[in-house]
This record gives sequence, C-alpha cells and structure tokens, in this order.
Amino acid sequence: MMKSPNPSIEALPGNIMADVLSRLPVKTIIHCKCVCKNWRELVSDSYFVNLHISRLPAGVMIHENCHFEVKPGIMKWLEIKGEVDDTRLHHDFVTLFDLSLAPALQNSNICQVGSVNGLICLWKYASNHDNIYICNPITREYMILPRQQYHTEKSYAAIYYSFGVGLLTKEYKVIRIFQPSQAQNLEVYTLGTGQWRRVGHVPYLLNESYGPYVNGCAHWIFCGRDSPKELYAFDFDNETFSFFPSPPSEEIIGRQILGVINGCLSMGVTSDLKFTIWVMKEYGIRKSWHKEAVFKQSMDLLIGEPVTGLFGLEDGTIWLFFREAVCW
Amino acid sequence: MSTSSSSSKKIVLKSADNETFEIDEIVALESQAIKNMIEDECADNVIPLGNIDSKTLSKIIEYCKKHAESPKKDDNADIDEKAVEDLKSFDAEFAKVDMPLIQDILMAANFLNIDNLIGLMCRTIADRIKGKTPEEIRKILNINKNDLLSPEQEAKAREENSWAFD
Repeated sequence: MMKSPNPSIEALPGNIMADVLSRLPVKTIIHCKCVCKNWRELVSDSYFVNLHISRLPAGVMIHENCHFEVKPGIMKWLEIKGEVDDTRLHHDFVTLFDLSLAPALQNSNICQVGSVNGLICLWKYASNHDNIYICNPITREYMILPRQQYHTEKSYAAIYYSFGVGLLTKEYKVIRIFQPSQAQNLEVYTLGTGQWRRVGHVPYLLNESYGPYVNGCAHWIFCGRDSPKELYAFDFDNETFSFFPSPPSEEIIGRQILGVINGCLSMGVTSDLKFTIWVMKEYGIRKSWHKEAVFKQSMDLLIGEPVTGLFGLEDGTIWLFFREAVCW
Repeated sequence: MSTSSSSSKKIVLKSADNETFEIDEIVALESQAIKNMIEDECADNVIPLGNIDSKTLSKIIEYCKKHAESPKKDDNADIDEKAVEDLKSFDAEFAKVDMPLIQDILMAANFLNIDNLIGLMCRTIADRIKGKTPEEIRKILNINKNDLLSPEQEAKAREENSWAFD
C-alpha cells in the first residue's frame, strides 16, 4: 500500500473519529467544533452525542442565579471523574456557560426545568412573557418552543414543567401542567412537531412543582381534595399518568420533595424535627424504598428556607438545593 | 509447515509490502475479523493484509501477543492484580509512538476489528489533544487544509464558543 508520509486524520472512519472525540472533556469538544468542517458536523451528529453521553461518568449542570436581579445567570458544568484506582471522586467545574451571552436569554429570569441526555430545558419567565428553551450546551444550539397561550386567558397561572424522553419512542417531550381554573390542563410538546398538544386534564392538585425525570417518566406528588398525597408517574411514551408506589405512608409525614440520587428516584421528607431522605433502589418496586439518611434537624429551619431539590452522586454525596420561593 | 513440533496452530499474515509474519493462532484470534475468517473456514494458510504495512503490522502483532498471553478479565473474577498492572504499563509504553503511526495502527486495528487496541489508540489521540486550542489540534493531527472552516465560519464558531470560558 502506498501511503502518504503524513497520514491525515480524515482518513479515519467517522465512527472512529467520533470515538476519539467522545473521550474528550466538554471544553475541548467545544474547541473541536472549529478545528475543521468535518468535526463540526461530527460533534453535532446524534451518533456522537449518544456516544459522548455514554462515556461521561456523570455530570451535573448547576444553575447559579441571583433572584434579585433580572439576569439569566451562569450554568456550571461539573464533571465528576472517578479514578480507577482512587475511590475518591473529583468534583471539578469544567465549563461555565454564561447564559447572558446568548442573545435570546439576555435580561431575563431563567429556571432549569430539567435535563436529559445532555439537553437542557430552560424556562424563561417574566410577567408578560414566558418561553421554553431546549439547549445543547456542547454544540451551543438552542431552540425556542412556541409561546404559551395561557397568559391571554388569565392574568395568573400556576405552571409546572417537566422534560424527558420516551424510552420506546425516543421522542423528547416537554410537558406542562397549568392551572388557569380548577382543572389542571396537561399539554405536551414533542420536539420536532412545532406545536403544543392538549392531552387532557390532570384530576389532582399538585403538591410540589418539580417533576424529576427518571426511567422514561416524570414524577410528581399529587394530592386530591380529600385523599392523601400520592406519587404519580407521567410516562413520556404513552403520555399518561399512573399511580406510583411511595415509601410507607406512615413514614412520610411532613413536606415532601422529589429528587434523583445516583440515578434513583428519591424523596426528601421534612418535618419540624427531622429530615429524611428516601431512595427507591429498584425503579417501580415499592419494597425497594429505603431510608438513605436521616438528619435529626429540620433542614428548613436550619437553612432558613425550604429544600427544593435533591440530587445525589455515586460517591454518596447528596446535594440539597435551596431556592427563593419565587422560583418554583 | 509441521504441526507435530508445534504446540499450537500457526497463522501467517502477509503485509502490504509482502513481508510475512508467522504467529500462533491464539494471537491472531485477538482480531475479531481474523477470528471470523478462521471460523468461517475462509482463511487460507496465508492471510494477505493488503492495506497494512509491515511496520504497522509488527506493532499490532506485538500488541496481540501480549494481550493473548495475559489472563482475560472475564475468565476469572479474582485475576492477578499484577497482571492487570503489567498489561496497563505495556499499553502505556505501546502507545508512546508518533502520531502518524498511531493513526496507521488505529486504521489497521479498525480493519482487523481489535476492540481493545481501537480503544487504546482512540484514548491516546484524545489524551494528546485534550485541552488544546483548535490551532494546536490541527497541527498535532495534521488536519487537511482543505477542510478548514472559512474565516467567516470560524469567526462565527468562535463567537458561539465564547459562551464557554474559564
């Protein structure tokens, strides 16, 4: 075989090149986008995106914002690296994303709705307008979902979002539940379709606004008018809510929040005396709910504001998030 | 070729520059492509590899020999820690070659379907461009000048990228 003395990297098949690039940290991948045309296309391809995600040990996107200012804030991408010979995990901020540099997000308040497979769903909210953005921080691409209509119907609406992907259909969807009247309208937006669809009503009152995504479903705590709080899962494939097993009811007295710990659905229960964290080890199996940790103090009182989020990592670290009540 | 004096079956590989390499079958089986050929009984005594030169092929054989000799992870749950370490340091030494050879090995490993070697070479390239600027990456990998972004495209890409900073 005659080969050039300096083989060019382009001779490698696309899947091999994707293999190489997928091993790079996010920041270098961003640089790779302007190395050559070939790579620019490669990193935007879904094959690459999936490969890259499968290699990421774990990552957390933290959104830092000050609620007293109208600013989109800064997202920090934290890659959690597990060393093979080292049981310690390193928590390093790898990349920061200044949302105010994205023209569409300037001078607005932004909330993170959720993230799935490297796509982040952001909610831009204001008194007279409201938008949902799906963005891929790695490729710097974002899309804006069509404007919601409810503000024209009512001056005030309680609105809850979740973002996820169907395990079978592989369709990415944003769901929103809003309450212009007594009924909770449920709407679904499937990415690529260009419009919101009204799916029906949710016959329950929501207790907590955050609906964490695990295993193809968004999870919410509902409480009926006369019935106790119950956990429900919204299946992103068939777009229906179904009853979901909770920890033993006698054990979960107090304010409840949902979260994700090490990939498992989890629940934080806060009362005046203690704060308990429950984790569902095996998805959908009632008996697998167990107490991960109990703090002999009320977190709400300790910190001075309610815990609104719960997130845990492989190494056993559990993060609690606190937000201004104005947020969600 | 006499098999009586040999404890294992031999396979002969022939490089693009007509050099032949006689290796144990067990070493050749590290390549999924050769394994399939042998299983399908479509391998002759000599397997011609018309797209792999002798320099690259000898490196690949060196790799396959070492990995064929080492205990496999799935064979035994509690494999020798030392063997794992040994293989790791072999891999690290093996990868200390110049970029053109790495690319040749990667091409060949892809053709021969040697999973571990593909992984090792991809990791090596990734390590060498990690944290580098676009200019440095182009130089390290000898990126084809014809495939560069136009000045406008590059300016746009950089502007988009300014969204990420330290």
